[in-house]
Amino acid sequence: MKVKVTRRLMALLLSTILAFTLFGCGSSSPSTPDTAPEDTEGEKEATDVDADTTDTIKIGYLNKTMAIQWSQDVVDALEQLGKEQNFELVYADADFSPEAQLEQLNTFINNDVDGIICMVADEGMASAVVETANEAGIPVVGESLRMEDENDLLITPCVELDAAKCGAMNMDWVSENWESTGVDLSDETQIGFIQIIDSQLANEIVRGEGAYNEFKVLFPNVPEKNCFIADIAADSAELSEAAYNQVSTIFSANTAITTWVLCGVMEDYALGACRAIEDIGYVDSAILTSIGGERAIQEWEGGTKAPWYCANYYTGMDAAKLCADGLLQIVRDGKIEEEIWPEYIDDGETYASAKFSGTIITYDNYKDIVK
Amino acid sequence: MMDSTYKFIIQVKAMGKKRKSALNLLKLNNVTLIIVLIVVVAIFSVLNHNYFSRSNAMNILYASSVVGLLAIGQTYLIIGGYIDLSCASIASLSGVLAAICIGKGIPWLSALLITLILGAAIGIFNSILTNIFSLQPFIATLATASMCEGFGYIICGGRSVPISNQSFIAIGATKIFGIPLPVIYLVILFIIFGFILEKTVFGRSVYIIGGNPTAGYLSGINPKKVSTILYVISGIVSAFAGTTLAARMHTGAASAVLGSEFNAITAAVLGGVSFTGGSGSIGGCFIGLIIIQSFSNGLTMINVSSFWQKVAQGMLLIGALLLDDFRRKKLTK
Amino acid sequence: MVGAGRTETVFSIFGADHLDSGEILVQGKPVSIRGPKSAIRNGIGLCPEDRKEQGLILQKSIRENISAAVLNKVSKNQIINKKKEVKLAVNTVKQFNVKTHSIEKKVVELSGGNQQKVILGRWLASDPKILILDEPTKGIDVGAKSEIYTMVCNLARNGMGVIFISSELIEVINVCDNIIIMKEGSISGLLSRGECNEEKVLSLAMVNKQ
Repeated sequence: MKVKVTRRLMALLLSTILAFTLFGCGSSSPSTPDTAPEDTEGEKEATDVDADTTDTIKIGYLNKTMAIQWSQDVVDALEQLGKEQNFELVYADADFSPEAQLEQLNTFINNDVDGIICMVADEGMASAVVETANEAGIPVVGESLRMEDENDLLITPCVELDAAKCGAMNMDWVSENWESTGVDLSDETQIGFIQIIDSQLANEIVRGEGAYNEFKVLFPNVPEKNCFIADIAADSAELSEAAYNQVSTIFSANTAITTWVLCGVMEDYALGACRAIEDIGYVDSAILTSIGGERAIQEWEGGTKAPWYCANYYTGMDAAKLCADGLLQIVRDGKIEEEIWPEYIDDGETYASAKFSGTIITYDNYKDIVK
Repeated sequence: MMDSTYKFIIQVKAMGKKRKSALNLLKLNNVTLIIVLIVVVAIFSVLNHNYFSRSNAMNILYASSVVGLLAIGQTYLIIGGYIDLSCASIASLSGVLAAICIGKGIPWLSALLITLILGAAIGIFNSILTNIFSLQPFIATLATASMCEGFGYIICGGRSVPISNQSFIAIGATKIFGIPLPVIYLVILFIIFGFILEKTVFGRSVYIIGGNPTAGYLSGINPKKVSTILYVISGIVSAFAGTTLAARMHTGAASAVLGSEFNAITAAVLGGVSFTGGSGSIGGCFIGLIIIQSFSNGLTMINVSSFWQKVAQGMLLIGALLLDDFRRKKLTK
Repeated sequence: MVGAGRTETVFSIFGADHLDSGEILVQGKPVSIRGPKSAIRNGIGLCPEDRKEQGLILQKSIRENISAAVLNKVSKNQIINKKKEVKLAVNTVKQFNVKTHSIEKKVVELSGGNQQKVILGRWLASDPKILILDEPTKGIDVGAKSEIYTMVCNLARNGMGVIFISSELIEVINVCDNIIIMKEGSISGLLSRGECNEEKVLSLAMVNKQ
């Protein structure tokens, strides 16, 4: 009958669209989304799984969002480490949705992963992730965001940026080098300080405090009322724009202060702050520092040195190396979560929080440090 | 064909004890959709041998559990000629509210009831906007969505609210004979609402006011009364979905389900619902739901980059709309 | 004549439109009509003028269209009894001679005449004491027209009060016992069949152009 035929044709058409999209979808590497032979990609996947070699370990990376450079760097680094240390990587993007991350976790468990690295989509759901994974016998290592219970104690080993130290390192550089920048910090009572953070993220609060505390030690005569926090949590715009808004507001509310030291705990915030400094005309009287160096490098490539003088540079590989190392200790060497990285277990904690910190790069030396 | 037998087994197993009569009620006779589902399953099974397994089928159902409940509300509303874009926001808000209540020591059952009442209240609010102020449902519920989202962030101060109360967590995380509770809720609610839509006077009146509101009005059916009930149903079901999700995630997050309304509507449209109103079925919506979820689960299993996943999902929606258009053209010559 | 306010009047009687003043008596007893639902309960039925826009649910079957106004009669405890519904539809189709092979056929596929019969069937299923027909033979072939005339006359003979609205004089004169002529929103005259002739009706119906 004609009706049935047309119906079947529609079904076939729809399926073809789906199939086309499927094979049109690139490989797993985010840096090369258009990799050619998709069919062999699919077959390669199947062969890998079918190979059933007990030596090849599969690690799953659950990420809060792949839309930031950091996550892509971590994935690239993990894939490289995977080749060197003989493990296979699968990863998934939760796109800020806790529900999606739980689904992806279940899919990974079902897909025979041996260990999971997780940047949790929502800090409150950490216990759900760890419990679900551990029930299936799979260890979890947290990446960048601490996985804690309601008492703020770690529930599994985590890898994080040494937040306080990074901020402090920036201030150390400022204290030692401000004379060479041309900005006059000799009269401390005239200096203003801004830390730019997102108060919703515990890690960023610590970064900001690290910078602030070190700043107070190095510049003891700066009045308390000259120190501010630009909080992007209060702003619904995206990261850089929110930072721009918050910093501009602080500048406008305190026109008596024209000499500033700033620390953006994420480079996107520093970017917004940089624009704010330029727009208000404080380029020659402000020193901007950041945690995270990629954006700073982009500014320096353009030839401008001021006002973004230094950045604490760390890479996805720093984090990836630690994550992979910790996970492989559990999965390959047979250790349990409580045993890894004993040097990083703080008082009152059961699990370790392995820390990495970066190096300070500036306009003058970044070419030597960054490959 | 082995695939269709396996499909049958999955569905029967998942439905637990209510077998044959339930299958009849859900009118699983939508040939086109089942073909699509089989093709999707077949393709992914070839690409990854872990896809074709009982545990993965359970994952797919588990992953559908929140969107599925939202889709029930949407199916009812769109058949009636309305729509509710606030369903996902109601769910998120409910999750946060439940978490806060639990944190204050309120017992889990009361917390759940509070959120259901909230969902019903928001449904009534939507109905007032649509019926008394005669606002277009699309815009009106979009506005409600924005308000609910805002309230969600306000009451939790922008931070997600952790939950440690085990009895509350149990309503989302417990497994009975290996089947997670949310899957059981999903199946039971689909059966109940499927029955109501197909077999009751109320269900029929939804189809009638959707097909021709004036004719329905002149036949003695009150579109305002019916639409109010529809919005309240959507509100309550969405609230339930959000609360059980918060239990499962051990946290009430204001951003939890945001954006899922589009998947819910896609599932309904795939299942035969048309934006002109008056057609569609709960059974079709269920298959549509499984297709969407099988697809996204499959993409994760073969490790497709998330950016391509978004492209693929967009194409799936286009396919769904084409199917709807084709169906409508067949019906109204 | 079109535009005289006939549809508005009957809509008000049926409760579908606001009633400014006056009262409605069914079989001598005053009734309060608050909406179509109470109108139906009090034994009034209305076949609207535009059967496609106001009467039929086009994508639905003959069976579903017929039962639309009497859902509580084909159901028990809110659950629809498929057998009763089918029986009602089959009987109606037979009684009205609706040309179709199946009651599941979608009404959009029927001819105008058959569509009108389906709507008539719907309203007769509600067992009304008063049946209002607004232009029931508009856009219908001759054969179906005469079938409808016969049906209407039978209903009246069996005691049902029928209000037949039409713009065709011949139709009105042949079918109706009494004729109310409306002009510009109010009644301009009432004639019995015997008194009726073309001249009188037209003079009462036409708007004065002086």
